[in-house]
Amino acid sequence: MSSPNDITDLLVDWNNGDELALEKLLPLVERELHRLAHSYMRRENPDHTLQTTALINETYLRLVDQKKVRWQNRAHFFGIAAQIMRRILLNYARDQNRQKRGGRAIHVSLSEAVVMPAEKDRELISLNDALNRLEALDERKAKVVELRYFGGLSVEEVAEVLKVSPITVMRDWQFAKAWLAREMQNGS
Amino acid sequence: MAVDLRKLEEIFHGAVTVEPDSRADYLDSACHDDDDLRHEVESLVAAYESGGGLLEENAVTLALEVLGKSSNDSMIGQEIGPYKILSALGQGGMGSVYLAQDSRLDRKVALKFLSGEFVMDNWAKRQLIKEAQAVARLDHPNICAVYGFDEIGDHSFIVMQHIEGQTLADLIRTHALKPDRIVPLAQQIVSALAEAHAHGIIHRDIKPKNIMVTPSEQVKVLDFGLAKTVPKTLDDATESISQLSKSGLLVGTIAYMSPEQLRGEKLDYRSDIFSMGTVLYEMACGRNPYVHKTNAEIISAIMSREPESLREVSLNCPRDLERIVDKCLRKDRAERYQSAVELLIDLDNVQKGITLPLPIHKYVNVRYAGLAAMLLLIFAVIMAVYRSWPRSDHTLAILPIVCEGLDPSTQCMGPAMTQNLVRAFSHRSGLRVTSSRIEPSLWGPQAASPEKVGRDLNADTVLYGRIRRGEKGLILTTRLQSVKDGSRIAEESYALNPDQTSMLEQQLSLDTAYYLHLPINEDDKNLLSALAVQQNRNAEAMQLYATGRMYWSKRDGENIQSAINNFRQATEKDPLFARAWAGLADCYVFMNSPAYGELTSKDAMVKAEFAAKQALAIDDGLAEAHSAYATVLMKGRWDWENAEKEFKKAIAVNPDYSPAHWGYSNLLSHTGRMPEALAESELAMNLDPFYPAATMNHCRTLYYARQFDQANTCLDRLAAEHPTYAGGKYMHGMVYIELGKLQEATQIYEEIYARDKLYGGAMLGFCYGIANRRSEAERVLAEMRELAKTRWVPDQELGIIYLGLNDLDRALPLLKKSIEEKFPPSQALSVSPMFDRFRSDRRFAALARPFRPPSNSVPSSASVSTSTK
Repeated sequence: MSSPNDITDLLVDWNNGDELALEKLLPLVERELHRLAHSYMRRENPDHTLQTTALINETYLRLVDQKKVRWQNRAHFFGIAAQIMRRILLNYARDQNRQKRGGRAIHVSLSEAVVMPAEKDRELISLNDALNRLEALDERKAKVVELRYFGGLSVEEVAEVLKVSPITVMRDWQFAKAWLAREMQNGS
Repeated sequence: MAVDLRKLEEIFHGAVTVEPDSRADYLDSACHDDDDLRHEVESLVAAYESGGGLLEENAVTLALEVLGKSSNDSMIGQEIGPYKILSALGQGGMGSVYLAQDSRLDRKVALKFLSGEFVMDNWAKRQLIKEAQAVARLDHPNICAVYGFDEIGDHSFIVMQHIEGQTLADLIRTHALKPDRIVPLAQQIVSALAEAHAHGIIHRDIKPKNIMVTPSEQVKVLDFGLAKTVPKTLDDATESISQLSKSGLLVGTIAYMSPEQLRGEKLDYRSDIFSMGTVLYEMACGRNPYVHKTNAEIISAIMSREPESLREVSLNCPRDLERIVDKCLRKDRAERYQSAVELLIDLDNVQKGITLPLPIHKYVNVRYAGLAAMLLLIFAVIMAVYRSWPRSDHTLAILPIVCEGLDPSTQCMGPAMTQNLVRAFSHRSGLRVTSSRIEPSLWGPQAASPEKVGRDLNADTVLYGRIRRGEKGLILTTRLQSVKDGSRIAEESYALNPDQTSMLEQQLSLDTAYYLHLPINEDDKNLLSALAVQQNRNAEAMQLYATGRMYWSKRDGENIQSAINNFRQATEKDPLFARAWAGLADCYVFMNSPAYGELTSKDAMVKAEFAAKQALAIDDGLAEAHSAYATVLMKGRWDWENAEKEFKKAIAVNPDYSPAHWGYSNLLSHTGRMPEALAESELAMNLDPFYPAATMNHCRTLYYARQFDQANTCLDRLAAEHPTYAGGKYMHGMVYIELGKLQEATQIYEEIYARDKLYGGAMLGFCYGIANRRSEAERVLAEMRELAKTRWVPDQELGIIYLGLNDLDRALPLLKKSIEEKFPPSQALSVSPMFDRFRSDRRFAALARPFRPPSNSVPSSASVSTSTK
């Protein structure tokens, strides 16, 4: 059902402006991330950060039909992966936040529960809001944050995706971080 | 009100760059009287300095945590043989359990698969088979039955009885269990254990999650995944903690383990008794007796502390039950119930309401107090083994850091730094530090040998350094030298800011730890982060860089490749890390010779140039980058003029950087300035006397200067000091040819050729050719042509063999092609004495024209000063 072909087609469709394609794409990518995240977590390796880029790479390799999507689209994929990651995390944060506020005592057994570290859910939601405001002000800076934070991309990779110099990315990133931190402090 | 974003951004970047002290002044002048703007900048700077919160981490990591904890449903809906997977039942350490429909027998079963990375792990698979075998022997109403073991496609799994109900863990969490419910459940668990023990099986992982309770209050003990028959040999028994931690299982179940299990000792049935005690305790009061935040605290509690008394925690707990739990939880297994049956008898008595005999004394064992610490130590050592290869008790001699050529008004901070270094190093584990008050002159041509000084101090390694003024400020150059064989382990140069020496001292300590393969400690990690922040660097990238330099310092084929991998990763993590780019360039310029691998010279040069330019774009003040770029210009572009400029820049930035001097000596010798070339190559050799390539370069320069006897002596010395260095032999052969010792030369190349056809072929064919051994030369030629079918063989290599055969008609087109392609070694055609015999041929002379020195070039100050000696 979720052969690389379908996913590749969905990616292409979404890229062409078909928002419905994203809705179909999300669960497929999510499932793959789930599977990989499990095997990564199981290794009980404290250096998870070392593996994040590998995770994205592996997801890409599994999901996308390499013959159909050319190498230069890799940067493009990272851009998409970052957006997907943002959506997935936000969905979790909202669910969890809603449950906390609603106080609905649904008993979920531990193995099924999605546990977001304490307070991270609220922070993530407020980050997302602030990021939307930044986007209205300066689209590129918001993009830099999305790629770097949600996509786990290095400065150089971001530069490649956005076709600007690494130094510009670094400056954007510093400024955006300060701006978002201020917004989040004021907003909460 | 609205503030111009562009302006705001500019001033913001200015404000975070200037020192905090001068920030107010800066804002005064930058914002003029625009209060709104100033307020905006100040609030952003404040937010910037308070940190980005969530943004300091990485969302992918967060996602990993979140997703990794949630359930894995990728199996659901699959059909594996006769089994259709219906839903996930649970996760174990290595396995996932799914509910499945068995279409042949039309019943529900539970399937236990290896999950995640364990799918392909043979150890885990053997474990799974063992579990199936162990449980298959047991037939007991309180043990979950195993129907079989299956392998279908990629999947290996156990087929088990499906049990409706919930785990004891869930039951405890949702219900306060009353004693009249606890004891019957406990009786069933213990009778399952008694059955297993009777078959020689220890469960080893008794915990509430592994115990199912059906709606009719029937207990089923699950997960004999770690079960093990009582070992028949000692070897069997020692598999324990290391193997458990390998699987990550230790983490999840640690709070139910017995002290002897944590110590990795040989286990017997009494370990299960202890675990049963913790389960009983938890059933009675709702929490594990050793619950703590960290594993270390849990371990320490299990080893050495008595849990809170059950009756204090749970008021309505019967005294008898408390006594049973106490006896199960004795640290010393000799004081516990000696068998499950004994425990079962006591539980039956409680059930019957019979009072137990009072214990004679309450025994508290303090013997294990030190064991937790010991265990942590063992963990630390295991970590260290993983991180590096620690040497036992390494002695490092730190010699005084000296200042040279500083004007008298500058105070030398060498002595203070030396003292601080001794202090910084003495905190390192695995390292003994000695120091010396005397200041032997270790620099310059007449230097005392550092290894001799080190030997007098009984040290394994010597660290010494000097401070000099470079173009952009003070530079500290340090060297690390092995006492045993005098080899240079590392040389590093650091820009020295007199106000910030303490960070530098720590960095030096860390770099040295890397070079000496010492364990990296917590302070180092903090330092890396601090350095990363200070230099706006990524800590991981700095670590990769340090590792890269370590490999680079021993550059040969394989190490160069490792160095490249590390530098490359460092630049990927941190693209603005100039030193890592420079390191990469430094590696690639080495790879222009077939001796270093498959990369064609052109590719190597392109890569080197890219890396060098990246480095220079970020930081113009790196000698390594200028020197690497100069080498690219010289070898790859044959652009002598700009190469010379870059070499001079490199030397100006850091006069101690040996590779710049020997690169420059090459340039001078190729452009006909032999005296200057010899001065530079000698200087390079003296700066780096223990690195064979620098000595080799000097020998080669002597050869180019047609001083064959001196070249011969030079190479003899090189061979004596570095008997394994292959490049020296190759060069020696060329000198032998000019000395008329063709026989010796041929023998050398025969040996090289036997090991490495590509490396030795051209010279061997050439020797045969000029010795008129035509058929042998032609055999080599044929073999090289054969080799060219599978590997890249430079045209010039074949051309040289034709030259030896005096077949210029065939040789010249090949050599012409090489020159046109700017193949780096083709420069030798114009310079090397071995081709002098062909220079009278007009066609050859036209092809291999001598290179002219660039117009208006002046030798660098370094070469002038040394050539006057």
